[in-house]
Amino acid sequence: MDSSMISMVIEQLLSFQTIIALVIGVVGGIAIGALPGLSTTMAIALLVPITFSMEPVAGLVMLTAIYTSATYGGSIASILLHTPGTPAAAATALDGYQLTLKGKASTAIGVATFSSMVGGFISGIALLFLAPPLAQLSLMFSAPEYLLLAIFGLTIIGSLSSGSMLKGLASGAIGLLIGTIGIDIITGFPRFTFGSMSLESGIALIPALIGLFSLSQVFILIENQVKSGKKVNAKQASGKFFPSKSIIKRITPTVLRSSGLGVIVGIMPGAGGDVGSWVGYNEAKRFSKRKEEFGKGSVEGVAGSESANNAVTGGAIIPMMTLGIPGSSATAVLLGGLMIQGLVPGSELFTTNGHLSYAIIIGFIIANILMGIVGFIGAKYFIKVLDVPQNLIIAIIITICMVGSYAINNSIFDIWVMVFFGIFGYFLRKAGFSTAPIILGMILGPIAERSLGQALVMSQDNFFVYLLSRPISVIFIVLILLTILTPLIMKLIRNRKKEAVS
Amino acid sequence: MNKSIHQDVYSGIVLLLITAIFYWQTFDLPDRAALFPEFILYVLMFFSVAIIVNGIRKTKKERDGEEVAQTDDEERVTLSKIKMPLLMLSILVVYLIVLDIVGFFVTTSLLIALILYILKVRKPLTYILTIVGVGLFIYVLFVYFLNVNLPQGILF
Repeated sequence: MDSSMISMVIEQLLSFQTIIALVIGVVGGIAIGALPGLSTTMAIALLVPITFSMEPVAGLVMLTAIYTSATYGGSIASILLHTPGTPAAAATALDGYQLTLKGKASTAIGVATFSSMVGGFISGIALLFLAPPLAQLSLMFSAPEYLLLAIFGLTIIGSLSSGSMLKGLASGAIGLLIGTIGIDIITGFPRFTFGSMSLESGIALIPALIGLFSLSQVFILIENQVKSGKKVNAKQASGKFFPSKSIIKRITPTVLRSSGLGVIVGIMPGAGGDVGSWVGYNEAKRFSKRKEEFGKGSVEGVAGSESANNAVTGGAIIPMMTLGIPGSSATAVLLGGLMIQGLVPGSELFTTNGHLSYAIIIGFIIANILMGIVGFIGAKYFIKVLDVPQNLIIAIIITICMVGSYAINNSIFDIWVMVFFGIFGYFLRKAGFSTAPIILGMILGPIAERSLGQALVMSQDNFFVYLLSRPISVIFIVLILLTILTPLIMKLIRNRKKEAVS
Repeated sequence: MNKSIHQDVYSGIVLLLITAIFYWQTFDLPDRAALFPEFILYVLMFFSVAIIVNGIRKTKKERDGEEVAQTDDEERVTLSKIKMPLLMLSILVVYLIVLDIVGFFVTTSLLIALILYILKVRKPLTYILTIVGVGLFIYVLFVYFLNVNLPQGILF
């Protein structure tokens, strides 16, 4: 970064729109995250359309701010209600709720706020320093590498995202297929449009992801429409939220360790905030001098999972911005937000568009600090969010889903797309398919097809020999094979062991 | 004894049918345009068959009384479970048909009222506040700040 870049970055960050976006992102993110049943991914998907007509920096700072703040906000419901606000906060509930039962809810929230802030901040710094050199890598890529990168992205997300590898990979393939709908760029022929004019321009990404992540979640919420019996007693959490010096001293090693782990988990594609928080929690327990307190209200437990799940955020943005492979479903949606601004992941993002990217990253770091401050001051108000009846929230979310998917192209057809993907996503989730690979397939499909065409031309006669003659391609092929074969081999070994035991 | 078939079998069959429909569509395409989709469809066909086979294995396991692992949201789909989502879906479909005729704000107010009703909200004040609140929010954010032309409808 030279000095002219620095001044451009500062100029971008100090714009009125960016500052407003930052504040709305942080406050809105915490509130949405605090509501049980609303996931971080859902929050980002709902707000992508709003960022569409904003400046790129303001829009993306808002989305990343929501990402980290909603992850933090999830801890509030975990601690007070034992119902995680977001899946990433499930590990926090273990000790957080025990602290609430002991009348130490404000301590727990304070520790969660402090840990989330530090975790998010560290991940932002990691993003700032790790992303540019990684993006340099993409300069060495040509068509064959992009093709293999797309395949690698799909296999890793498909195999790691949740439970069944087979279904994850199938989801990825479904996404690829959806990505081919519309006019073929090379031949100009309409593919899979079933005679519909509206389908000729393809399935719009944003309505599809709002449907898959937000509307499908609403369908899941209304399945069991029971009135939430748990009422929060606001008095449970009163007094000072900022943790005392002795507590800070006690949790600092845990926070730093779990933050580091969180960043690493975040960088690995396929593992999201929920994995991160469990890793952070388990390691906090393993290293703790007071293991017996875990599960009974340990501040270190809260600190471990909360710092890790926020550290995942910055980590997961790294492969998303540098290689275009999102590390989690939340970053898959963020990638959509990046692409509607016309920004393409890779080295260009850190050279030609460097002034934007660095502004977004520094905005993300500031968002984490602001999140901490807002959390310490406003936690007692965010607790009130838990009193809002879920029925109201459902009505509001459905309306925003509708308007949001319409707003991108002023098209009612896009709302139909959104509703279709909503019910499609709902049934996929019921059947145990994960939805993130679908979005990834839709994004990577066209890239893969274009690269395949170019690579075939470049290779002239023997495609596979050509691929094997390129070192980076060979690395990708090895990675892809490892991703697919490792779980199979692990399973075989496990079965052997089982047989040996019995 | 448990007689039911694991739903993976059905999922796999549905996926296989979708694959078949899309494959049938590729017949009209020039070779160059069909190349990539066909490749994906072969992969999908393989996955669908594998899911069916896996489903049959899971069915056997369940009949032997063994536990079958499930992922996060995975659940046996039953009519009582999907009743509410399907009701909501039909409401949304009707909403979309009416939207173009009556215009955004009127239709959306009705939609919110209907959703609140089926979700068993009965207080009139809640209806008024939600409809006015959401309406204002959408007007200020989307119409005023983001200049979105919401459907006006042909009636007004």
